[in-house]
Amino acid sequence: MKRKSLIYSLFLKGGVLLLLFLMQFILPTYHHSSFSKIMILASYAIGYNFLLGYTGLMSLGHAMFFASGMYSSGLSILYLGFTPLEGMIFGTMFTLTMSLIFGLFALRTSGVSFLIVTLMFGQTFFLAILYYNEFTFGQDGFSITNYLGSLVIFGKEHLYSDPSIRYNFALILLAVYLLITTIIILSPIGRILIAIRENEARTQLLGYNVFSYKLFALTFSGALAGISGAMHALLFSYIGTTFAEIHHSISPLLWTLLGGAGTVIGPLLGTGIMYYLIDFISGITSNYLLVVGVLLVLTIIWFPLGIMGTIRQRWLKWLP
Amino acid sequence: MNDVNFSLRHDRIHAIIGPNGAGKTTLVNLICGRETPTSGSIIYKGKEISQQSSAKRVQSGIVYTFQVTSIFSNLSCYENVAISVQRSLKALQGKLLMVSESVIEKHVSKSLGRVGLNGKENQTAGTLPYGHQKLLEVAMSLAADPELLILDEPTQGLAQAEIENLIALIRDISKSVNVLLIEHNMGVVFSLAEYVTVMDSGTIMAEGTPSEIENNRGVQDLYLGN
Repeated sequence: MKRKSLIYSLFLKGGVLLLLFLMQFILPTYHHSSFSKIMILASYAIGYNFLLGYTGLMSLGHAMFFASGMYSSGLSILYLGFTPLEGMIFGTMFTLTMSLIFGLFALRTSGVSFLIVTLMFGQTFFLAILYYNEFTFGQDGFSITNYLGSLVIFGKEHLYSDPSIRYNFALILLAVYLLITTIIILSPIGRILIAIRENEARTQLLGYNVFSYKLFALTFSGALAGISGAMHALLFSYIGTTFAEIHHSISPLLWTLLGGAGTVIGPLLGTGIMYYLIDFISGITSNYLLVVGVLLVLTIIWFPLGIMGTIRQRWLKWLP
Repeated sequence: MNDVNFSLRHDRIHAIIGPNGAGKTTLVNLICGRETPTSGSIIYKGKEISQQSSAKRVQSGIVYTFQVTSIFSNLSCYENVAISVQRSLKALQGKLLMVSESVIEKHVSKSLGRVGLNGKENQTAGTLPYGHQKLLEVAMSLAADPELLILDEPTQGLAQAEIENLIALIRDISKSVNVLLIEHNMGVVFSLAEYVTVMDSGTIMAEGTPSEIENNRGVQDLYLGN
């Protein structure tokens, strides 16, 4: 069943990635840029889903990890003269370390307490960015366009902000995230994370050190969020506090729940739908959040496990 | 619990009985690590384990089944047992990531077969009848490779035919595993147990073979009746 699940899943995801690759040649400019953003935000949501959908831990502070990857890579490029690659690596290691330390404290709580602790830490991080504004540029944010240099690919020079670079880098990030999370979820480790989500007490009494697995999940999820943030900084060059605010923690939760928590491809679908829903409705009314909220409630009534979760339950049982 | 000195009888089915609130579940919670003693010690295979986590105790061979069945209701029967098998195979092989799915499959089939649930691999555990859920939990516990299997009121909620089925299974299990049974059903206790501990108000009031307990005046007054 696992092998069959892996093969079908890779075909499905491969198909989606191929479609996304081909779409860059036909998308109008606006949608080309939107798709780049969606793929990076979907990667963030995939990282979030790893914690919520597969381990059952709901965080309201994940913006902290996204923003820490963004700020650590951006600030290292700005102040320390790192190259974009060095900045990405630094951003990744910084967020990985931060997730690990955060997890060692936060995982002493569970349920609603864990939710509140993540919210607290997320807000603290946001406020710290504002407090140290002489270093972080506070609410204004900053740009690293002039510090990125250019990329040479097959002898041709490109800027990081070139539409084709943005699109394909975002696509590569998404592809890597889909592949890695699929492999982990279908591995013995994935089985244990799902067991923890389903019945933590039972899992502990089958001999598993549940804390260690939850710490792995939180650290990995945080790292994925951080790498997404760092990539966002590189490709869109702007680093600002809006990515550390609480709504940026709630967004991946909504994207994941809409697309299907506990499915690998659900967050991609949820991110895309929400992005365009808000984009479309905000063009019609300033009360777009109300309209989006109502539509979300209606969608969850028809698809209680999210769209892909309900599809898996009813038709595609092999979907990881 | 109050000044309890409990010794598990090795190689016998040992039962603990007593009225509600006697401390039976508290005692087994202390043994399996779900609760920590405020004083005293717990010795298992010559080692002090009072401060050991419940997970570590399972790894040492102490496996517990819940009073109210605790399985992974949304997962298939296969996955329920596989979760347990995987850990015990890892203990043998020492390489979690390299545990082969085909080996897990073999062990899962064996465990499900032992409790009479072969053919149910793909069924969602929560859709099983209650009696079968109990059997599934026993399969999970056996897959954990126990040396001491603690069964907390395993016949609770079962029909008579299911109870008889479970008694036969426990008797079979006891040939290779030490069994500690907590029960209210005296029929089950006296047909299965080879040694009985009677608890009341957090203390041990009597211990002995089933016939000694049955004839114990104090136990009759407290619990069994004449």
